[in-house]
Amino acid sequence: MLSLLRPYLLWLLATILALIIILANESPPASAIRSRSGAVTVTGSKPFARILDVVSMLDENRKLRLRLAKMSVQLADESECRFENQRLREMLVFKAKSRFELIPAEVVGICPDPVIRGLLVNAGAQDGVSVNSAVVGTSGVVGRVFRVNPTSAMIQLLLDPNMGMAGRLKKGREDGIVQAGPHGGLRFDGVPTTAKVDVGDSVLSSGIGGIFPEGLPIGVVNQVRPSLDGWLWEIDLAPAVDFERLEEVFIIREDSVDG
Amino acid sequence: MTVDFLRLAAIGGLLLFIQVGFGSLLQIGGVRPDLLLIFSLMIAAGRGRQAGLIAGWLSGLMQDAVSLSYLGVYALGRSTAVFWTGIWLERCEGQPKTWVWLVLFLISSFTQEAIVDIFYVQGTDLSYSSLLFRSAFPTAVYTALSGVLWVALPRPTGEKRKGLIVQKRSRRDLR
Repeated sequence: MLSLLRPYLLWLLATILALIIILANESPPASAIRSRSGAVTVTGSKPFARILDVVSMLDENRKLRLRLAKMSVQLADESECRFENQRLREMLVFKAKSRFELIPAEVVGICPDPVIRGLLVNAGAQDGVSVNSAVVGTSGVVGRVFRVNPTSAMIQLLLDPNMGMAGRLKKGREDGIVQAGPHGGLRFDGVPTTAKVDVGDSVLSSGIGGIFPEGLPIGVVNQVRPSLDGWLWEIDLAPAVDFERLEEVFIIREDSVDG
Repeated sequence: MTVDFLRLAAIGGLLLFIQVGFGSLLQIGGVRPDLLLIFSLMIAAGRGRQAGLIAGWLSGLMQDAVSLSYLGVYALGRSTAVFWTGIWLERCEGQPKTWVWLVLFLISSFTQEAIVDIFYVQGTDLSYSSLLFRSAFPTAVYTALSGVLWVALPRPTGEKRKGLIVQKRSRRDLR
């Protein structure tokens, strides 16, 4: 009989002991045991907690890197959109103020012609572009159209050695010829040394030649020196247009230019 | 016997260390398996429910101490759960089937958690029934699946293990 009851008595004893311990939890000995075992647990688990921390940090690191890469791409896109927005606003203002009828065009490539230094734009005959149309940017003269396709056109830049145009000093009103100069700049030739030319003077299109209307900015004088014979000035111009960053241009519709 | 006791104590200590120290790695949806309950039931299956009762009581008390909860709560819950589940284990003829193990693990884990939660909700505004549903039942399921995994693993002899240490002779054989 006792042997049959023994397991149940053992369980009863274990239950009573456990209940006594539970009820005595707030007593000083129990509190001391809990605080000491807690200290041992915290101290002992520290090295292993570091391992767990490293594992979770690696995972978090991977996720953060991915997120950073995505955000970098997004930031670059937004930055590009902001610049494009600014450029397009400038173009809108320029177009609104212009006395000519302007055909906007986007630069889509470099001119494939090996002789001409130029650009390819996405406006053509269907848009009203014709050969020898003047091409300008928001800050000044870019060049002229030298070949037209139905939906595209090739532009000869002012920087091309084969290109030249008539210019005029804004202040002194002296006429001369603008051509490509050294180091990606422009030259203003034919101005006699009797004319007063200062660094910082602007050079505009004179309208002579029939392609470029009068008054379009070409460049700014950044160096003046007399020629060897002393009769003419050798004038270097800084172009008004940044040819390295051209993305959009305007083509002046030929029939909108005053004769 | 001393060697066996020391070996069991070492295994229990290791499982306690894993459960408390690395429980977060075993966690699924905030639920962890009770490795010490599985350990206690294995002892009950191999050595009788009295041995399982003692193993459950001691492992419960150690768990209470290192996890900074009320001393005695898990000792009470685990020892009771293992003891009453042990009755069914003793009635099984030969090796229990896998589904029987599953049910036994499920019932014992749920019983343990139900007892522990009685003390857990004291002094709080937590609902006992919702705690059973949200914590006790998922823990019981996870523990049952973990226990069945251990039991179902094949052994070198080709036989499924009944207890942690297989008894060569059972107490029934001695009567």
